[in-house]
Amino acid sequence: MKSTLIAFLLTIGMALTAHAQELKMPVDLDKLAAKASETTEVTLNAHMLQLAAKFMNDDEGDREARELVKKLKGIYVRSFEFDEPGAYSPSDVEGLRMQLKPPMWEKVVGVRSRRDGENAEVYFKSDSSDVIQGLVVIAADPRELTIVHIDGPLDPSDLEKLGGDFGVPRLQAPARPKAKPSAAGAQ
Amino acid sequence: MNDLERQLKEALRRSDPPPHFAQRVLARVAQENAPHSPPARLPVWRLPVMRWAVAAVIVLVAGLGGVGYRVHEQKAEEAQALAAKRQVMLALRITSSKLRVVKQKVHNAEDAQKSGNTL
Repeated sequence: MKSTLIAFLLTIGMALTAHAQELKMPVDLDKLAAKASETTEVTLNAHMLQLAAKFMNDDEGDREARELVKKLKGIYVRSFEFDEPGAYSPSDVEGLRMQLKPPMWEKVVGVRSRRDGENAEVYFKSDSSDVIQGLVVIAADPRELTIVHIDGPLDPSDLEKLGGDFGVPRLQAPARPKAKPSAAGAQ
Repeated sequence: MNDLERQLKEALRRSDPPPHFAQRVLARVAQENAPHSPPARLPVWRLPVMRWAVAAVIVLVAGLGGVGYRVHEQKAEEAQALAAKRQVMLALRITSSKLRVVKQKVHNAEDAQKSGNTL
């Protein structure tokens, strides 16, 4: 009886932990779509990524993308462009930021420009291994808000690919985040 | 008269036929003399060959239906995969461009910090 109870509690605990590990896009983001002049929404779970990987051929771009996506668990993008500045408030992404907390998430880059109102943040999800387990990019300027969540293992070469091989120059792969989050740019 | 003669006389004694015997005999004779009617024909759908034909058609239709369904499924999956691929490439491009922006901002901030230190 006692062991059954312990097993039950462990199961509940594991289920809650698993639930807690999932990153939820705030509901407010969907409301922003109504205000936005242009909205891009990409939601790809592991199944869809595997399906897409099957249809990527051996061209250089496709091959790199295939190698990258076939190990991922999900790619989620929300991008909103607005005709007028100030159509969204910082609190619209606060729900997401609240989830990006240590020890699971590390903020590795935070750039804030008071002059032109542009903000950019990069978060890495890490575990006990050296492999980054996820990436979140929040890029905001007065007329545009973009949130990217890549769920799954990423190594530095993946980050280099992400930073370059899809039509833009490469991004230098950062070192694995230390225990204390460090804003590499001007915060 | 011995016993044998008596038994023969008893057995061959004249007796009247049962009632309506003559009518029954005549009716039987008339029935046997009547022309034979042809055997009743089975409906087409009850012929053995038709049963085989129907079974073959059912098997054929089921087979073609299965193949058609599989082709339809494959086409649907292919379309879904291509759409997913387009979304993947779009997502990766957006990610790349945003990471490039972040990188540029970091460099700008570093440059500004350096020039501030120099001054």
